[in-house]
Amino acid sequence: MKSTLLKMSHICKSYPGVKAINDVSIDLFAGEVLGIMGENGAGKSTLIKLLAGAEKKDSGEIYIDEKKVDINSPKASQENGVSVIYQELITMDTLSVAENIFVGQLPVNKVTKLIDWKAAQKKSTEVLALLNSNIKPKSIVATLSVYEKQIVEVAKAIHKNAKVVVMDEPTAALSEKDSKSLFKVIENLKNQGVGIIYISHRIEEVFKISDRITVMRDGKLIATKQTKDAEKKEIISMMIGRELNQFFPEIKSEKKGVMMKVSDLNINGIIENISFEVKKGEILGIFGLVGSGCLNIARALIGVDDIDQGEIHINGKKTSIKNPKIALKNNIGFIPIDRKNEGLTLNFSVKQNLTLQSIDELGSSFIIQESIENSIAEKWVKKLDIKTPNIEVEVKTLSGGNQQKIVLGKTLEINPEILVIVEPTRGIDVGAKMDIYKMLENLCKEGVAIILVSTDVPEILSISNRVLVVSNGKIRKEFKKGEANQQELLYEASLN
Amino acid sequence: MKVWLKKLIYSDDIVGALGIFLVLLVVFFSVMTPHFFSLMNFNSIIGNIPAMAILCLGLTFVVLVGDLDLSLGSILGITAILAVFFFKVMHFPLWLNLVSCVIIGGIFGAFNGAIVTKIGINSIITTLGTMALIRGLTYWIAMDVDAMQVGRITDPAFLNFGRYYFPEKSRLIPITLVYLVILYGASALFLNHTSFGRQIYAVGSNEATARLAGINVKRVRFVCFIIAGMLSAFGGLVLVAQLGLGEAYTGQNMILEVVTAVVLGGVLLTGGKGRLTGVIIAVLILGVIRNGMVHLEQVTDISFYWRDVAKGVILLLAIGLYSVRKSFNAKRLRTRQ
Amino acid sequence: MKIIGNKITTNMSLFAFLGFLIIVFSFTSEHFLGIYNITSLLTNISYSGIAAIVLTLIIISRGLDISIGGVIGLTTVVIATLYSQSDPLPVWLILIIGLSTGALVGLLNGWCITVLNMDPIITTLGAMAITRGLAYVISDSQSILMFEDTTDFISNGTILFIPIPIILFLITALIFSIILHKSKFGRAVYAIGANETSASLSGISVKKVKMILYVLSGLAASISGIILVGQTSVGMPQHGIGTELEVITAVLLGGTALSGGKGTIYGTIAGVLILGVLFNGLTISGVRYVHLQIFQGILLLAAVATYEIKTRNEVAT
Repeated sequence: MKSTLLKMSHICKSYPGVKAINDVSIDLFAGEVLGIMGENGAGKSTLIKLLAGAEKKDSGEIYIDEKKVDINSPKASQENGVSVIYQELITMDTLSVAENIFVGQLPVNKVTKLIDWKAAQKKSTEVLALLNSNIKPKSIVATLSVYEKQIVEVAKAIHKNAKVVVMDEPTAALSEKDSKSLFKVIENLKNQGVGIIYISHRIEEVFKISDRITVMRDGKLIATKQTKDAEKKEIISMMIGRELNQFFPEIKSEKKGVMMKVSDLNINGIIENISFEVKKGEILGIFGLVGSGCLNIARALIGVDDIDQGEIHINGKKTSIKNPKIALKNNIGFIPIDRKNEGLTLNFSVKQNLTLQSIDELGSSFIIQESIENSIAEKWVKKLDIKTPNIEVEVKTLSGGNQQKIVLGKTLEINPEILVIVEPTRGIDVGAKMDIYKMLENLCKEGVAIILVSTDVPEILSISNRVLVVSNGKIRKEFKKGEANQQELLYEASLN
Repeated sequence: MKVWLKKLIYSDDIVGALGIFLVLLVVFFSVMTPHFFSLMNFNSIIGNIPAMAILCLGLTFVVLVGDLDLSLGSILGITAILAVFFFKVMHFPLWLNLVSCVIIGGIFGAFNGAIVTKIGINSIITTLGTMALIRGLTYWIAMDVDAMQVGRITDPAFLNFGRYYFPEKSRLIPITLVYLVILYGASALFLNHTSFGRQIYAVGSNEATARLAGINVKRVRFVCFIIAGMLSAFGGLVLVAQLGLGEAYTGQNMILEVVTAVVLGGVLLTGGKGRLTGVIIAVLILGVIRNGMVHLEQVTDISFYWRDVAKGVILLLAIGLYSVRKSFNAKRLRTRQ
Repeated sequence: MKIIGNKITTNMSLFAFLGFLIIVFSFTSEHFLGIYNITSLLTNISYSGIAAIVLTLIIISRGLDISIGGVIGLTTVVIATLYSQSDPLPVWLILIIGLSTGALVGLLNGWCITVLNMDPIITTLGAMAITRGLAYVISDSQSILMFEDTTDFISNGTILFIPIPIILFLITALIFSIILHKSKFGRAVYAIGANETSASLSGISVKKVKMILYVLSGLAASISGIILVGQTSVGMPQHGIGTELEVITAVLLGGTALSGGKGTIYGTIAGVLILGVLFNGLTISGVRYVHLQIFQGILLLAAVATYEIKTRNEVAT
């Protein structure tokens, strides 16, 4: 007997300039797993936020158990039986497992008004047993592994009689063994009539665990199919869908020798035996899904993370990149993944941000020469076509695309020979994207070696001269330009 | 890395380590000085700590919830003055005096709590401000209100409140010890076994998650400030009873030691973690050091004032150890992205 | 530019308030505007103002230094002790040792905060205990009198009729104004306070900058100590008690936010002046010294509350 647990009908949600969710209708039956797949920017995270009550929808209706509900706050979401297990776990690490499961609702002895710990522990053990777990309720959560913490979150959801459980990239931080355990847990939940929305990039997993698959793209619902009737390559095509060459310029490179050589980079438990070369004027793409280790590689190259083993040679010379300052000294520029918190200082002005990595160049003495600062800022505003009223406004007032251009301009000012850029065009309008691509093209012509870490498949395929596919912390395969299409790339990266 | 160092850094049971440290200290002073190890001296140590211990209890509530309260010494001070005033001028009976002062302490605590939760100012700056404000009020009342120039309290009932011993003849157990046992015991029960007590820990551990779970975060924080205020007032009453008088400067320099004891006792400054057992042992440790240093000065040439330096060093070591642990753990918990 | 706009209005209202206070006090006491009082007032302001100027930079970088008072006490004791030896060291050497005291404490603070990543508030709280304690140890809780007042010159001497402490304050204000608002180092300080991650990724040596700031703060506290010991001719372990609160109040009053990234030297100067005029005016009007704490507490709370509410309104719009 399958009842419609959750029905989202004609949901729309827009942010300034972006239609995040455009007329999306989804339904979820009791006891089923609905996989939702889509690229970055497809609208998955917005969907989660709406279900969790963290954001309010612009229009459309939500029904739980065939009754219309108004999820306008996290509390409302929980009261209506929706439980979201985020990628970033929000456990109370200093407290015990039982307390996390029962937070705010610990069982109380009616007579003494004291907490009935025995009952709490007994119930916790029961719930955990349903999840095939023998975690002790008394354990402090801080001592648990990531998987165990996730189980605690699931237990919390079940205890609150969640009807709909949303899991966001649940296996991103899990080992294969733990992932298998998680799947057993999901099977148990299904048997109890819980409906699960499973959001993941990993196509093999989605095919293994889900009953139906919904594909989203650019805020729209593309299709929903029964998993048993679907083909992996078909799903991936639906995810991608954009015509490749219409938007992205073909970047011709002029290779002139090896700029950087990475040998056997190792961070224990994170990345293993990473080796590659980047030539001058070449764009090397590094592609991997969430949890693959790509970001760790990027961070190691710019000196944010420590390497346990391995060597980096720049222009033939062995270099140790211990911190970002040394990276900059070695002419390695970078665009970090989080432009608001890592790339920019939001309260600073346009010109202050553009000159932040080159403060030493702002004059020969210890005083900042405003004329130099101004000219540098004006130069980049012009070169990158940054749309801003003037160079004195705070960058937080600018749009995403212009903010990203400022991050780019800031790092280009140091005349980098190597550029490590992560997700350069995420959340940016098409016009700004093209400007950035044009800039990258120019840089290639000038002989800059570019390492591009991106999960935007069309982008990385069309710009890069070569693409390295990374998964589980290792390099799986290398594609030269034209050797792979989008489906193959995504497929390779989704394998374990 | 050496095993004992690793254990020190990774182990979660600080109470055990504190207990051992306390024992070592007692042994050290007993060996180095002739009169340290005696019943009379131990009674003296215990007699000196009640006010401090009660303030530490109050501060623990606030720190557990993730805040800090630097005004507790001032609340103790104003209570001391008011207690004398109520007694000598208003002729309150003991019970009325006690109740009024504790209520006033709670009001000051509520003032702190309101500023922190309603206006949203950082608790450190807030209580820095109220610390000065209340101390200023204390001096004003003590010096300018003519009726306050009262001198000592001589009423035996009041004095007994702080000085009584059981049993009367052999003077074994001071009544202040009883207060501590009751207050710490009740607080432990409250914090560990009641719903609200666990909410305090929840808010301190992860405020956002607590809020999501429906806990009224503002109310929890507010109440903790009130509790701290009331306990500080009680501590002031005990101190006045012990000393026989209350002056404008009473409690003026206590807050540093109170913070040291709480931090040393293993209460996490970020909130959500801490055991009262640790706090009371830390209080004893500081008390033993203070007492022991006095004895040490009589035997050696080591100035008694080194104890303040020692307290500062202990605070830094305690926090330093915690910070080092945090860095090690952060490195251990790297994830693949 | 919004930032400058806010700076101007904040500073303008501060100076307006200052003017108001001056007017009020000129009525409540006939001595207020006298040359003797003004000199005394400005000298007292210089005493705490020097530390306030440096603390501004520390707070902008999202740190705090509560150990100022302890360093002052220790410095006065060290200097007085060295000075009253039977065969004392030359004055310039004594002064250097005095300055080193503060610098060393600053070094200790900076090391704990940058290398061990300890919380600045607790660290400097511990430093305050240690310095205060050391002052008691060295002086054995006695006040140490200095009879030959050569350091008198430092505190009581004048250049062009202006007392030296005031000149020191003006020089410090000028230097740090340039450093904070116009130099590369100052840009780094703002960057660290506004977003430490971004600053670190942009190649700014966060550890180095912070270390320098704390050493400077220790130095500034020592200078205040030198001024104090010269003025009072006595080295006491009790010197400086309460100064840290005064200094923090002045800086926060001037519009520097505890959350970092915001603040100006002009604001701090205004804050220091307001606090100084307030205390001086009240004292001269008969209010006792110990009651000034009430005003200090109220002022601190009122100022921080006002700025907090104002910021919240700005964010909402």
